[in-house]
Amino acid sequence: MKKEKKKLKLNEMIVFIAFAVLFLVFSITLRNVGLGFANIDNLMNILRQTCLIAIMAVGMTFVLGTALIDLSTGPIVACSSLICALLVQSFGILPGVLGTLLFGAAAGALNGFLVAWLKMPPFIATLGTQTVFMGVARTMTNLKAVPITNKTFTAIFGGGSVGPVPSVFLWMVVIFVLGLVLMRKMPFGRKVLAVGGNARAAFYSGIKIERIQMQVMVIMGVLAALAGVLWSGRFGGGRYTLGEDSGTSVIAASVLGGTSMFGGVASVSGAIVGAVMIGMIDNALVMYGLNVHQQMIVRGLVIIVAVAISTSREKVR
Amino acid sequence: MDAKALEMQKICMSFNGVSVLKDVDFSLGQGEIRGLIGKNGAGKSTLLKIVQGIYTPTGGTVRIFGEEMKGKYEKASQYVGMIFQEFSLVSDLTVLENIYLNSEILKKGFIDDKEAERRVTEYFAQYDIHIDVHKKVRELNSSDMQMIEICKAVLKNKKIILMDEPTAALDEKQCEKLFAMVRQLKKNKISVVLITHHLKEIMQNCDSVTVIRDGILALNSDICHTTLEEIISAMLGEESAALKKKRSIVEVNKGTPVLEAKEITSRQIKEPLSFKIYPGEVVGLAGLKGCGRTEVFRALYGVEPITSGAIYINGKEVRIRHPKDAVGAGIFLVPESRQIQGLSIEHSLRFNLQLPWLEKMKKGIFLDERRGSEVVEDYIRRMQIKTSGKDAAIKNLSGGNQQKVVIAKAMATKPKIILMDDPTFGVDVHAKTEIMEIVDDFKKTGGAVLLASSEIEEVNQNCSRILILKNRRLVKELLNQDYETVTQDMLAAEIQ
Repeated sequence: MKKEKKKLKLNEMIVFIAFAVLFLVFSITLRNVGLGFANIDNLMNILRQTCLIAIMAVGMTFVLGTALIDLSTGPIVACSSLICALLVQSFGILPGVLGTLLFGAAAGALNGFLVAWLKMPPFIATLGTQTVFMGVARTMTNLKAVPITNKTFTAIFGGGSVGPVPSVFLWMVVIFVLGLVLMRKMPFGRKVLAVGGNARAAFYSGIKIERIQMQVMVIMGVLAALAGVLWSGRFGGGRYTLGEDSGTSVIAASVLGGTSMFGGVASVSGAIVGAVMIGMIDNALVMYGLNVHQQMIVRGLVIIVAVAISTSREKVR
Repeated sequence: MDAKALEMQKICMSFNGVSVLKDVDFSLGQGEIRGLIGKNGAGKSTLLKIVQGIYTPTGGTVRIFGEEMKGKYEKASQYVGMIFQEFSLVSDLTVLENIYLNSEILKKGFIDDKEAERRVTEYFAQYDIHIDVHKKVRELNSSDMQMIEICKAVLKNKKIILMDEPTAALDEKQCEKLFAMVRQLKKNKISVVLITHHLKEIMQNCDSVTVIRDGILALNSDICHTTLEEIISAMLGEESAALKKKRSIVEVNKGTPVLEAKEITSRQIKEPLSFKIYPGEVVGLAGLKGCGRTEVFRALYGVEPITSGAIYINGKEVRIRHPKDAVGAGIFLVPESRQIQGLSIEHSLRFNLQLPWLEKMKKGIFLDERRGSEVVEDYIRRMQIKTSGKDAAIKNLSGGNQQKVVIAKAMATKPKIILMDDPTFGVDVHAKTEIMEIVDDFKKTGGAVLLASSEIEEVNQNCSRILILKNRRLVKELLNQDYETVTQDMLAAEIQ
């Protein structure tokens, strides 16, 4: 039994160890490229890029923890960036942001409805909505980007910084803390893990499975929409490609962080570390001189490895 | 004289320095049927895994048909077939396909179904089995599946068959069929090891019995030279005296019933059912397998909500459409299967025990972990749950202790009434007694229990009133206030 405990700890630690090792390897091998990998500017850059993935990975941690999956997050981000841009331009910041989050909630509720009430396999259901939202993003403005001219908006959401700290980072911290509290300190997190671990036992314990499933999908939708808002803030507008391919990175971040693809085990802090790690890898690949297409190959491989590690943690019975 | 089918001498086994088996002898003559008995965690399954060659013993010798197995334990699998509690059959394949799964008879590289069918039919005839070989396994009942499992082993020429609780899911008639088959195996010089918690089965069907207690050999005897009492005391050691404790008699106030079902029906219960349970009562729900016990529980607990009629708690009508409503109303169900419905086995004891009352564990909007832990530790102590601690994963607990966690889960919601669907299924005699004592204590504090069990004696020994259920209809009510009025034989006759 003692041995098992040790093993468990190692499992939880592995993401942090991998993180440290990668950081070291990149710092050394890339020290002569530009200002070097470990240069503070580069690190800040990585952080800026990963905050959005990290925010979504927090949501994905709840989704995977419930033994669900959401493949539609990328296109929801894209739609959200456009909706946000359009609303901010015509109605101002607050209606813009709230409206976008509302859209995210609705998109999540649609996924939740398919999964929880129609009992569709989440993989198929969200693969479907993924395509739908991709189409929506393209149709909305006929592939045209929508610029945001509101300087206050871009300062608060994504573009600006408080002292040396980028505002997206603050957003990430807020979401991280909320996620952590929700997962660890409130009944909701326990229920999520119970449904993911053994839905039937959760049901017999008096937990409304469908409600939990619906709630996690809505949370995911809202966080994807928030990422969309921040994305539009960073780029000064909305566009149908923004964040569209972020979905896989989000899942990978969460899984790398120690969340089980099969539900019941979830780590919010792991998801953040996982997201930063993916950002770090992406950044290093650029510095190694790989082009966008080559990066895709490596990113895909990273995801496969991450999931392979996660799967090997589970015993097949 | 023939060599023994299996001869194990001075077997020792330890994991990480913890001794699990110490100097255990175990032998099996050709065509011998031997019972293997011990409490959960006594070392039975470890011993069987050594026989199968899965574990290498840390000491002692294993001989199969006179051949020393040292250094080639994996060879044991040629001779030994294990029949698992959970069937290893593929439910969408036919009987024939299952029997020859992964060892298909080939003719020029293609599967030769005709030859397979010929062999299986011949075999079925020999053992007097009447199962259509082209039926899909999912259409079979559990005793047929069990037989198919055994056929699979025998057709692969296994000479030693290990059966782990083969009768757990069977009713009486099916058991009889199974043991008839076991006797046929004996005629064909195939040896059988039978693990079961039903000691009577051992007395009736085995030639000999081995009892293991805490990893040591406690008894090794021919059945004709031992008694049920001797086996029980060998299994429990000094604890056997505790078993005899009588149930306390509680004066039941028949004022307002704590639970009343009035003319309830559900999708599974077509004819309206009515009954009342008073505080301080343990009421039995007795009937054959498939009589509708589980269906009654499902209706009361909101798993399969009632379609007509009403449920009253302390005289007030409650609407139960979901287990959540039931828990809120003061009902808790200890479900049929602890691993499927009762517990999340990958999660910790603490996690599972707190699950149904998380909303009550809050301080403000946050979980009060300290109070939560206190409650969990209190239950571990009170119910004597054997665990390395409150954070141990459920899957590392023995069956009896897992079941205690399910019951602790129920108790922790502070229910007025606990529904128990076969709470001692697959649990050893010792844990059974402990569980029934917990029930007794609950009754003394004014709680009520509706108890169903696959074991008749459990019902008549613990229930002061027994409802007889036949074909999803309540046909009779027996009073058993002193726990002696209704005898086991009477009850067995009533449920037929």
